Amino acid sequence: MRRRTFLGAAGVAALSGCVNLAGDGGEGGPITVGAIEPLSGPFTPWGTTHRDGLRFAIEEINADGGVDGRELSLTVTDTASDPTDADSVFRRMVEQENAVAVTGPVSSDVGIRTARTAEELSVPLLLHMAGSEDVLSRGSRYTFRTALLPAPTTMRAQAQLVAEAGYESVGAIVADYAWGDSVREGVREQFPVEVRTRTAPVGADDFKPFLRQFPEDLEMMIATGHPPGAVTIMRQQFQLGYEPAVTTESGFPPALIHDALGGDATRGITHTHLTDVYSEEFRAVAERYAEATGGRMGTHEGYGYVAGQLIAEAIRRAGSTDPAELAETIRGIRFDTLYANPIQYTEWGELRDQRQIYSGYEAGAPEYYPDAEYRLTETFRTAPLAPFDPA
Amino acid sequence: MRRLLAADGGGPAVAAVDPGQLVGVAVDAVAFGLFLALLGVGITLVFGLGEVLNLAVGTFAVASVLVAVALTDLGVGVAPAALGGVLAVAALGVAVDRTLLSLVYRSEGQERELLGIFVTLGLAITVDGLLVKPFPGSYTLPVSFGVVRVGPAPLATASLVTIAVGGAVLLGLALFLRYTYLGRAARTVFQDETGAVLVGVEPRRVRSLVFVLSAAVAGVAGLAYAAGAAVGVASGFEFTTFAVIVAVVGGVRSVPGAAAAGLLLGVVVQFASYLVGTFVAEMLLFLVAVAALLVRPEVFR
Repeated sequence: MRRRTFLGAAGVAALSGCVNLAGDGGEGGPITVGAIEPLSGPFTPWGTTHRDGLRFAIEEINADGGVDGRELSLTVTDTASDPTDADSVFRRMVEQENAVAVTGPVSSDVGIRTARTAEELSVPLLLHMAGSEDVLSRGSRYTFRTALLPAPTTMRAQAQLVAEAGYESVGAIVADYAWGDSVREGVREQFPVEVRTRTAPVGADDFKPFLRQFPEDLEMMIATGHPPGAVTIMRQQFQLGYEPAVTTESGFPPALIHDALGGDATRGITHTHLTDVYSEEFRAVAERYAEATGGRMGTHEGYGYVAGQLIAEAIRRAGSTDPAELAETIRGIRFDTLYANPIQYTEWGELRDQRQIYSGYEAGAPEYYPDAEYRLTETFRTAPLAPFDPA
Repeated sequence: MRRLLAADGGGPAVAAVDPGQLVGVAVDAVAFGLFLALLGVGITLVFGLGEVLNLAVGTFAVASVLVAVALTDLGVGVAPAALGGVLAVAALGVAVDRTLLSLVYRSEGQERELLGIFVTLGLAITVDGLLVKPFPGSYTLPVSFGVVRVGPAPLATASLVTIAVGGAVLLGLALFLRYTYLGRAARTVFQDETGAVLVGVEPRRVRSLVFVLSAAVAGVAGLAYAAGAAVGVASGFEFTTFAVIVAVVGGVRSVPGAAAAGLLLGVVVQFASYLVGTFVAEMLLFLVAVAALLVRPEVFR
């Protein structure tokens, strides 16, 4: 008897889950947005900053009356960057909590796995980082980049910087996994000068033997291809007397770099980002953010904010909360937000014509957050970047 | 002199080996060797006295760094924070010795060796699990050194600091074992536990002291390493692997052997990394350990 009752309840729940796959949380009720964030593990700083910006965006939207009169409801779960957990959480959010869109993946492993889930469930997934070009294929229709451009595009952007600055002595250290391989290929194919590139194990924590192979007059160091070792590469290059004008990383939250390096962050360390922290729009949002939360809005809080605004805008324009319609709307959207250029997508979810911004660190505070110890200062801005075509 | 370097990613297929850089590599090699020696000595001391293979030695090294980093985040200076890290792992050592190891020491012979492996492995997993949430990333000590040049060779100042600290600790340890009552008592237990008891030495007390000492030495090793490289919770397993390899090569009951093996392996790994790449260097490390086991299979007996 008990077993029958249980099965009956499960059947009702499953049916209700199927019905709610339409993505509507109920007429007039809140619309659920899911966030699968790495709030523990090695990508925690990415997860917390993105979540904070996303939460602020949703609070602002709700304070302004919501979307078409309905509030947005944010549900956040820690994935610890585990692809299997992320997949389960994504399904739970859609099937049990009626999420109409999901955002948050940082590691490429999680991005690849959840992109498949998004296609299977036909629910839009807005990536935070997950820069591997393997995340999107030509057939992708429900997965969209929002912040980190794939490695080939990122390296094309850095090639523009090299050409513009006229650097001739360039070195790169890449890790022996998918992202590092993509960066190495990007360097080889895109750069206008010969780059001395060395491959290190992904778990390496001593890069001195590699650094000693670079010429003393190194003008640019590309640490983009070894995210786990980037901070150590930066520290050890200074210990060995290298002073490249530019050292690039791979989308670290700037506070993380500044906390790790302190004053050394001002020695040519370069943060690459899409959030235009120098625009009036960003300044206005950052001031409101500081007032509401007491915190500093950085580039990654900006990515979370943009993801929240993008989902809300898609619901408004679609006039529907059906996930398939939202995905269709996002694909065709032209959304002017905190980036240098409006957000636009290819059919398969790559960002089109974005401008990557390169910023150094300097002591002092930005106007919108006077208590800060550092501020970013723009050093380079790319031309609009053509999207990566997986074909 | 020119040598072929692994052209693994692009750039010149043939790169010059700068003789000036070789001096720098030699300094890095000695520093890394002393780091390995400290870890190896941590294993050797505990195994020699109590026949417990301490597979948590790497965890002690990492825990010391993380405590120091947390203290510096609270505004404590680097030197007192480092001292705090060492004291914290020493305190952890006392707690482990009074509880888990007391259970292990109740058994004898092979049973104790096996129990020791399981207990210290479990300890490492537990401590790692507790640390990974508050310390999810990799951390370095927030120290910034200038560049030291000997002729054209840039020397990594973090390596010089490691040499100074590591050398001082090893020397202090040697003096302690040779000239103090407790040190001589420890050596007596090393050589003949029954004889030590007959002359009034309490082996359990000496084991406790040496276990705490080995935890503190591992803590110093971790801190010296973190002056120049990033250390995370996952580094603990790597450090333990290094320590076991050093103990295997140098002799798991020989403190001078472990120190010499650490230095030798440090030199081999650093020069191999520079000349032929890290992948080959890592293989060499394990090949040396395998060769040592083949030559002296009785190393753990």
